Amino acid sequence: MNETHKENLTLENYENEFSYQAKKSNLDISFNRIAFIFFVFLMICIIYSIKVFYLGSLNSKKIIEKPLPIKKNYRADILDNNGNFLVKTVNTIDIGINPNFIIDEKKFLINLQLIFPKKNFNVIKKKLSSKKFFYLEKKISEDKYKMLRLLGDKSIIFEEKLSRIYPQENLFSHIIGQIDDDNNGISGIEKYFDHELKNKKKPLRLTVDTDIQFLIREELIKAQEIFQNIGSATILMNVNTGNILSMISLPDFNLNRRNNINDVKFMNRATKGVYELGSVFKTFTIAAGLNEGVIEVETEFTDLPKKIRCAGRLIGEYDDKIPSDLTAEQILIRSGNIGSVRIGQKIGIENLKSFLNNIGILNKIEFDIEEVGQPISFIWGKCKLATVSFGHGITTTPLQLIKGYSIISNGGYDIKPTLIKENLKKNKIKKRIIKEEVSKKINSILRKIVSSKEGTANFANIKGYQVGGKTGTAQKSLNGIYSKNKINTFVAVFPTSKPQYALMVLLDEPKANKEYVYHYKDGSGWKYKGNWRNTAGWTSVEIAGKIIEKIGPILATKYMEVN
Amino acid sequence: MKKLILFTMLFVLVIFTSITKNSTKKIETKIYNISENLKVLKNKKEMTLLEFNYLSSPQKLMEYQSMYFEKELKEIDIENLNLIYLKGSKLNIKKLIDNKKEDE
Repeated sequence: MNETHKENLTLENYENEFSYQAKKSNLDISFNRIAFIFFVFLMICIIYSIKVFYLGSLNSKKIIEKPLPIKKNYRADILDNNGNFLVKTVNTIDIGINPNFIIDEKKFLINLQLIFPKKNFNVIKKKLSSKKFFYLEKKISEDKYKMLRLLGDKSIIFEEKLSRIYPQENLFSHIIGQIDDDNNGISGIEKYFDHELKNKKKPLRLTVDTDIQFLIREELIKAQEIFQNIGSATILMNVNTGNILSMISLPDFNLNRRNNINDVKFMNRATKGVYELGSVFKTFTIAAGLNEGVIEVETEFTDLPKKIRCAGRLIGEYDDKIPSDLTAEQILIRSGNIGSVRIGQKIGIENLKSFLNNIGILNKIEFDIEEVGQPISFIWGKCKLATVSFGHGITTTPLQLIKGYSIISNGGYDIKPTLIKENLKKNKIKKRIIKEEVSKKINSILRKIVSSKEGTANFANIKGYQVGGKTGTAQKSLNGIYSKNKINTFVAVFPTSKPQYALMVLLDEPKANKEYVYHYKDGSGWKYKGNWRNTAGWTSVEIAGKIIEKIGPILATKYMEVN
Repeated sequence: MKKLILFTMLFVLVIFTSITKNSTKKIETKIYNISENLKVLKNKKEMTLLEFNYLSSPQKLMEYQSMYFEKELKEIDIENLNLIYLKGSKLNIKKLIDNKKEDE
């Protein structure tokens, strides 16, 4: 029997489990990495771009203002207007000994004896036995430094120090000032520009002229011999730029000696001294009157009394020969007190106060050295107005006085006195604070004070320089009480046709010298001996004349303005 | 071929970089030496100038004058000073102080 095998063929759908898929895992990882790195770089780029934009948007001034790191043992030099050294920094080496590191004392002492044969070695031996550090020699020479280096001894310690050398010795002592042992400025420019001097790469250049400074100082020393004054001060300033060409205060001191200057007599009288300066203020009163339009040069003042009383105090003329009828111009030429009071009363408190404030007389002045005096404040009243009009009961510093005269004579432009040559730009922007015609009128009157016989400053009438100016004789006050001692001042402006310079000469407590021979400058050739008057006209003016005679040729040639 | 070109380029660049670096180093050394020498010279110049300033200071000059010259220094009269100036191609001379301006 055939059995038919029936096989059931079952066809099942075969599902192949294999399916091709691109293995993405690795690719994903690299892509993520790249994206991540790209992202990091992008972020860095963005951060740096922001920083670059930030820095770019900053003002250059802001960056400069950032304090620079202070360099150790560095201090910039100081030069005068002509590039001559006034101060030079020299690095010196001090030699110290640490006895604890000495290996062979005998050998060590022999070596030292060869290098320093003049030293007292008994003292050194004693110091060595104390086992404490001590200085063997300060500021050693280069040769000795090399020899000590060659010894290679660990006990010898080399300390680098900074030394300031002043080739002009006393000449600029009050301007430059001093530094302490730690390279910090303690007075003058050294103190005011301490930070700049420690960081400035270039030397600091001043406006002062060594030759002019020397010539003026010589005349002041002579004045001290003639008039026996206890001190003196002068300032020579360019009235148009405010540049100070010379500033002296006597007595001065030798900067190279590095003494402690604590005595009041060494005060900088030119900037720190606060004085009642007397009749030199009358120029301000007349200028204020002209500027306010309350007077004219020809305005007449009649029946002026010889004396007036204010709050129980007498105000009188210094010279009884002064006529009772005077014009405003004559009041200034003859230095009339009562006439000035009358003009002051016409101006009024507010106007006079405002005028004096504008020209920088009443408040502390901003200047390039620390030693600046503060004018004594006071309450204005009727009597104060009267005394202020002729320069009494009001104080200021000689620096502010010369600033005031410069503004009045330069056409009425405000200026800032400066000792720094780089500050020249600051004074280029001119702001007029007084009318030009007032300036011209005052210059003309100042000239007459020097050139006319009625004027009080004939001894300053140096031929060729058109000197104008005003004298001021004031009693010195001590603790609010007037003494017999005087402050004699003269402010000169020249040439008056086109003022360029103002010179202030102040003598502190001068005495009349009967033996001194005066030479009249009116062309007569007269000589006079036996003067008994202790006024500015017979003291400060004489010295100012001598100074202008000496420095005039330098100013006229070296500082000539070429158009 | 591509590999060869790439390799050659890289090799050339490496050589070129090292040559440049070497020459830069030499220049840097030269600059350093010159700047160091300049410092020394500048220091010398400043010290010489300081010495000159001291020896030619007005105080010293007056001392020398009294030591070596018998005659006193002569004062200059401002009215005797003349100003020489060029106007176009012409040389002109005029008084430094205009006497007419003197107001007395």
